Amino acid sequence: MNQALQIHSLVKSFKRKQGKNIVTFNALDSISLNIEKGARIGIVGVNGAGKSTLLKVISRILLPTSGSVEIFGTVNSLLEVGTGFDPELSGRDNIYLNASILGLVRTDINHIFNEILDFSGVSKFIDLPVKYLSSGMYARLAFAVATHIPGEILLIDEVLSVGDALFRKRALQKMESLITDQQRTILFVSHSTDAIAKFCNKVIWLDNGKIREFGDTMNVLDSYFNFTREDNATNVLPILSTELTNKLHGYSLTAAYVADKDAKSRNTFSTSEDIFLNLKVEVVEVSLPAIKGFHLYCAPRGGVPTETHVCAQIPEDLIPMINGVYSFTATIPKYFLASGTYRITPFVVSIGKPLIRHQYFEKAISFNVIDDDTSALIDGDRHFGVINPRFKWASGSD
Amino acid sequence: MSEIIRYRFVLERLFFRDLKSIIGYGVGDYIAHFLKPFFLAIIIAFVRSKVSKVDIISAYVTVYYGILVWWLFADTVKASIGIFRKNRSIITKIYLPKIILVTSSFWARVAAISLQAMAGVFFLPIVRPEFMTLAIASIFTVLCTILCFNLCIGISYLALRFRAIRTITEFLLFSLFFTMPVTFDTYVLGQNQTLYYAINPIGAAIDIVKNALLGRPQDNFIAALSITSWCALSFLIVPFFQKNIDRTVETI
Repeated sequence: MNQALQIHSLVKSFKRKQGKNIVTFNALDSISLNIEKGARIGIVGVNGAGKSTLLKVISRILLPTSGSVEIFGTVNSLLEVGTGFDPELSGRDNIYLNASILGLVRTDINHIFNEILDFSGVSKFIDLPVKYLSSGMYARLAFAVATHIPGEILLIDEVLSVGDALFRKRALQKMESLITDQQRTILFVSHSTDAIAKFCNKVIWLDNGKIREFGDTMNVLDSYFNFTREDNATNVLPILSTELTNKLHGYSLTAAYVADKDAKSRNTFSTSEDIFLNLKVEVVEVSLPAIKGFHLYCAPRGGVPTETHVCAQIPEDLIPMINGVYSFTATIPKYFLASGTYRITPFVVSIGKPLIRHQYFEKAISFNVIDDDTSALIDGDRHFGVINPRFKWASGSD
Repeated sequence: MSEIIRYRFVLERLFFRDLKSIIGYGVGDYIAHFLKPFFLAIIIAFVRSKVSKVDIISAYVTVYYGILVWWLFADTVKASIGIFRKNRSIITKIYLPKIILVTSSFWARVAAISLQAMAGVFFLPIVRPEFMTLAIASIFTVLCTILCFNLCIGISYLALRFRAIRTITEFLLFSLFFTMPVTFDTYVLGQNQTLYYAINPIGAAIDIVKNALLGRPQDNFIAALSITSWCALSFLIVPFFQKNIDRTVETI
């Protein structure tokens, strides 16, 4: 038996009172899944899509309304750090209580007790009631226990954001070792596409309780990003109507899109791959000089909410003066852009004063870059900013 | 039972958590816990000795243990009302057999009351109960405890299903205290005793304990029958609870 989990036509309904009526809504609707042993499955979806409900049904916290969930192995859920922590009890008592709730027995806890203490870094205060610990220390202690969770199938729900930057780095390393343990099957819910890209080999995209897409991580994240983008931008600016283009200057932008190395148009890219920005320009009876290119905008994640942009122009010597349609590709090398959402404004503007925007498609294209290096997930490390280069280092002795 | 055995370590940890929350976390709390029945018994025994003209020492000892049997019932029932809401953070985040939570809460209260009962053990040489009557009282106290446990399981389920249960139960417990033979002896009820025992097993248990402590003969057959019957009947609650509780807890 190579299956870890079989879900067949799972429906989970809730009844809610609305005025005088009782309405039923399906939090999960006809979910069918087969998950193999050792798979690391990410679950994405907007709020209310049914991600947590799915984990709760699998872990038996909620009972299915109809359908079935078959589990082949021991299952354990980590939906929250510090489940059952009692503020009046000491850190020591809480470690035993929390670990027992998570499925560990006394001998296991005795065995890992010192490891938990070292990892949490609160050994000095272990016999104090946890209500006297700072919220960061509390979270660290809770996380330290949670990462020792047993079980062949682990259900993890967004538990990465605990403690300060230093602890978060250690926490991520610990989570990585927990999730990448090949012996385990992992279902991991997160809003962090970076974390999903790093940890998971398949992704389920839930939407209104239904599976919208299930498959390869990058493909599903690509579709999900396309679905959740806030603006009207796409990754492809369709062929523009030539009637709408201003041909007085002799150049007309007819298409623009973002693609991977196989020329496949995509929304989501990993930092470890080249990104290709393609522009198509029609040349018709050139009369006036013009600049053709694009602005690349980036709104960094976190930190100061300012938008930065760079302007990239097609070099003049690359554009022939003969009538025709020409393609131009700008390559953004791998490990150049940092994780984030980028928007592109393709344009054709005339040179001189005043500058005339003949064609200016304001942030018409957008794409997402996700970092599959976990160290980049840590605030204060390499997360902020627009560029994320890999430096080449050399060493020598004086 | 198999679930309780499987989750025995969680049960043990939850039991100690609940016990600490009842007895307290410091020396002052421990002292207050042990002194609570002493002081209450002093007040009631003083009033009772004046009203009934009975020996104050006997009145004191019987009231002391009468109160503890009453608390065994009242405290455990009251605690079971909010048991699932109190443990909401656990049951909404991880699977745990719900009976574990009721069990830990119940037995923690039983342990806390047992500690109080032991603190009063030095009264026994004063009243000098007979071994046989004491043994009978112990058996019926155990039966009464089992009855209370099953009742708590039922109340915890009902409290989850119907919010009004809290108010109703609190009112009933308050009213019932005055009908319990803590402050009076059942023989004052005359012919009504039989019916009283038939419907009130906790009263019966208190009476049996009092008879044992005062060295009276245990001739209250109806009381014994009442406790035994109610205890047997209460086992019907458990399968109903096990069948329905998981679905009901989802509404929390």
